[in-house]
Amino acid sequence: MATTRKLILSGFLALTLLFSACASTSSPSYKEDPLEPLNRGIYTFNDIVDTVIIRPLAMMYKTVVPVIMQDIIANFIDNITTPVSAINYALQGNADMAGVAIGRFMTNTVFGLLGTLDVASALDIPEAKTDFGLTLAKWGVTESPYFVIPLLGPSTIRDGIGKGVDFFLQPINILALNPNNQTINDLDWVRLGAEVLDTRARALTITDDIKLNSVDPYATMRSMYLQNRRHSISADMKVIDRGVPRKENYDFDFSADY
Amino acid sequence: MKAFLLALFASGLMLFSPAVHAADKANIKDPAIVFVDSLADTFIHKIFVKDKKESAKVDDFRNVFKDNCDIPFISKFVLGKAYKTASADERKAFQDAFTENVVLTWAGRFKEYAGQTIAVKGTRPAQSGQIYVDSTVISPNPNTKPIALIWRLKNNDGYYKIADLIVEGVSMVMTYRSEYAAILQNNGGSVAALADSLKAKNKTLKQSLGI
Repeated sequence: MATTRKLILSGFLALTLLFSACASTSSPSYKEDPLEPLNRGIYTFNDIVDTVIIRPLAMMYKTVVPVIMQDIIANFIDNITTPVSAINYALQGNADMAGVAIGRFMTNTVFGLLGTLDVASALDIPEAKTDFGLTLAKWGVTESPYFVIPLLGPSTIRDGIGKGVDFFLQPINILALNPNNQTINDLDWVRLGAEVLDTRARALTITDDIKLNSVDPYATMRSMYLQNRRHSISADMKVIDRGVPRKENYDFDFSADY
Repeated sequence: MKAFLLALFASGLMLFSPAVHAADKANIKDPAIVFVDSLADTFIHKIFVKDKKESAKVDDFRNVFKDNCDIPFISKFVLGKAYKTASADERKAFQDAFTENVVLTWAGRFKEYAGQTIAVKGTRPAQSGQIYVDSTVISPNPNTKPIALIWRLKNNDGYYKIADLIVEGVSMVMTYRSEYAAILQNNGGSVAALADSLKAKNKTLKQSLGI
């Protein structure tokens, strides 16, 4: 199984190189997207795979699987990835939120039928979600260029690395590194598949909306992703710096030249 | 990203629900809050009513939109640097196509309204004398988390006009500007060509709305 992962990774790299060759040669519009030709190529690739495989599967998932079951799966996936948030909060020096994340995980696992019920939210335990990309931001790694990850979609190079680290931080993935444990490995693939479908199903209406209404969906998604990401970082920093006011990105001056 | 995407979608649906006050005593007289409330009221009671032709709904929404948004202001910002070098005709063509695009986009989103409500939380100052009205969008589905929606209002001679909508930290106006900057970059800076692309998109949207 470990070899398969390596194959897939090198496959991705090969594909990105291939698509960078096919992409347009126009110069990038943003200093934040110097990889634009490459990114547009990957976006087109993602779009094709999505249209042919992932979206139809997600539509089927959404229509065939009862909503209760979808919620259960969503809750299970949210819960099983909560320890990653706890670790990242600890790395960010935020002991309070790390405690909240651990509390959530324990509550939902023990009392929420192994995480299928979100008991923690019912008990008003706050949300505790962060990732390694945000940890890197806290450590001062400034925002790196926009990068569309094959299959996974919008990101930045820093956050892409973050996703990779987080993927391996998940307990089930650490266990899955042992190539001798076939059951854990199989379970992991199933869980990964379920996570892809769940994520895609949740985002169905929005991506449809952007593609229907936007003249340049790539540019729209890029803008939304980067603004939302900066907002997350800014919000996270507020928690850490205890309410020191930070300038919001949306508080721009309409008469300024950007 | 996925949380934001859900937020954006739900925000399209919340415009048509009666607003609920989180702190009635403090805010009930604030004109900015009154503005947001009455707009939500108009959508749900005047525009988005049953047994009304789709084209009539879109026409009514277009009128309310034109009356309550500062379209020339937004249109100028959204064009960015290209505004300065565009002719008066090009600016007008763009503004008309842009307005129609926004109207048709939101008309499409109305169709999926599912009973959300908005709770207005308060106001705070924005840049250049404008004002933010903070609200949250609450879904009837208890599994859906509430969404932060901020209205940025401009005061034009005593009348409030919408200058921007911000969903989970993402400014709609900034997003349009980014998108159009990319299109202008790829078509050699032609505002006329941008207006034409928008007109073509509008045609597609009308078809998908069935009007």
